[in-house]
Amino acid sequence: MVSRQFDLVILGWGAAAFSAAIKASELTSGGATIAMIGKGPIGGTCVNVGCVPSKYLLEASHLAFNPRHPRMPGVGAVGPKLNFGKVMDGLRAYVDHARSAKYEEVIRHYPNVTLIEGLGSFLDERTVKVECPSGGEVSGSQVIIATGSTPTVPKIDGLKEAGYLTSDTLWNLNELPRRVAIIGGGAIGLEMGQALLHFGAEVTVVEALDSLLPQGEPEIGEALKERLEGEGMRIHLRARVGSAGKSQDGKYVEVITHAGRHQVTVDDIIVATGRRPNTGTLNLEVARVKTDERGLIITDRTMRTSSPGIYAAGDCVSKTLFLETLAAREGVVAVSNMFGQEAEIDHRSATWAVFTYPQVAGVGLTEKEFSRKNGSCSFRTLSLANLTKASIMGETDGLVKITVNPKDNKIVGMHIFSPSATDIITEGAYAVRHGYTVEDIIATSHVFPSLSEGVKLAAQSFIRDVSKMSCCVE
Amino acid sequence: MTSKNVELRVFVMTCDNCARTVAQGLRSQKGVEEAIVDVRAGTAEVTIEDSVITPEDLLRVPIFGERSHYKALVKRAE
Ligand SMILES: Cc1cc2nc3c(=O)[nH]c(=O)nc-3n(C[C@H](O)[C@H](O)[C@H](O)COP(=O)(O)OP(=O)(O)OC[C@H]3O[C@@H](n4cnc5c(N)ncnc54)[C@H](O)[C@@H]3O)c2cc1C
Repeated sequence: MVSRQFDLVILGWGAAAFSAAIKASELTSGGATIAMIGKGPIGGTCVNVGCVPSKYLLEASHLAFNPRHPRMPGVGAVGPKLNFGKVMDGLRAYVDHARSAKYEEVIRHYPNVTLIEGLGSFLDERTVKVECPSGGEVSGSQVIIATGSTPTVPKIDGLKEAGYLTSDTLWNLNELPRRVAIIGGGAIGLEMGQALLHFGAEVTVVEALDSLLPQGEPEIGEALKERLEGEGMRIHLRARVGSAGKSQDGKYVEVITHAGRHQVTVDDIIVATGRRPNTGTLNLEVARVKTDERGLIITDRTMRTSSPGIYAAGDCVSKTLFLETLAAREGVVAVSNMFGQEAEIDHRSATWAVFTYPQVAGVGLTEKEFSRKNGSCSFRTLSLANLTKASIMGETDGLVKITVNPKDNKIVGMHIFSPSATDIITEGAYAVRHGYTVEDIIATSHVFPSLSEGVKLAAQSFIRDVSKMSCCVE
Repeated sequence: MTSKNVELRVFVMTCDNCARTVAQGLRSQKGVEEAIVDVRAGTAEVTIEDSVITPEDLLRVPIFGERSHYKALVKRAE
């Protein structure tokens, strides 16, 4: 079979693939011929079943919840009329719009990019076979693997028969389940859980670890747990689901904790126990691309794999943070290096977030991570109770924690639990990336009263007791 | 001393002047023995002294640098 020859072959058509294709097109003024091979809706996880629908659902759920729970005296609770089916119609229409505007329409402007639908696998280091009705072989001078990941489903007795949802299928709901069990209390499980809770569902989360969001600061995991429980979520830590099945009144999950076993009756079970890379069928051995024990592709910081001329980017790469922003950046780094422009991925100052309300966001090292590496560290935690804007809003549950290197006062990590934490954390990203000190933060103007001022107060708490400080002290 | 033949795919060349500029840019590098540029195919056949310059180093020569609008990929190296 004759293979079609391209300058660049990209496996996948999600965020990492798109950013790589666009960067390669820009560098060559549209001269590079690029094959983008993918399966399923174009744009991959983020726009279709990831960031976009989850953030839409969360926003809608907060609009339904917050008016019922006013946080200021004199402002009465009102219950907005909820039509969950219409919310979901709106969500799906928005996803269609975003896919069209940000992917389908965009790629039309790049006639040098050929979309090929089908799953690809390597025949040799430069040739990919595409499983599609017409069949086909595609060769590239350079190759990028950007095949992303898929939700995992643990082996639990009766789960398959009972039926379950994942982050791939939740978006097809038309009716709000009255009672939901979520297996897995990570970012995705908590986001979906709080969204359904805010719409009015009873939500039970079963998490195997002993804290929520263990990748972040323990104070934040603890505060988030308290907040969610305060809103009515049932959270079982150090727990697992032993079995599941259908019951007279819907479905059940059998929750096993140190206290024993009990059954929780629900209408829907959502599995959010993690994701596995889409690398198993790529035939990576013939391409001499090495993976780690989880099947994630091993790269260096230039996104080169073990096989010269083959790069990898996005959720299929061996790393600790799996985010759209990183996927896109890694695509750019891979292409830059391919064209001789040296670039490295900077995971150190990558920001991550959980879009619950209040939000959680972090950058850099936690106190524990820095201490483990360096023997000692210095940190301060600011309770939002000390922040004027947060007290006005009645949102004092949150905190800002800053960790610095005690040798030079440079900020090495910032973690925030606050409304708008996902916006505020960018200040932390600048600080970690450029090595700013707490004095740099203090000397930088912050609007009063604002939530971002929390970062400044957290920095000031390295030099004084901010709980006894006038808000006019600089 | 071993020589290696490298085929580069060169982008954004529009005329013979471009081809000449790229060829000169390559030939002026230490370790490049010969560079024949084909503007229509958008390629450069480069013979390099293996121990002095690598195929990937060719992508970092100033003619393909960040300020230059010519860019290249390694198509083949043998
Ligand atoms: C519910 C949820 C919420 C999220 N929220 C956020 C958020 O708020 N912010 C954030 O930054 N990140 C978020 N993420 C993570 C983010 O979606 C991913 O990190 C990002 O989409 C990864 O992009 P990617 O290009 O690596 O992979 P994908 O987008 O998954 O793209 C991979 C593509 O490759 C295709 N493919 C697979 N195998 C093959 C093959 N053999 N041949 C050809 N094509 C193949 C797939 O079908 C897919 O189209 C969220 C994820 C989920 C699930």
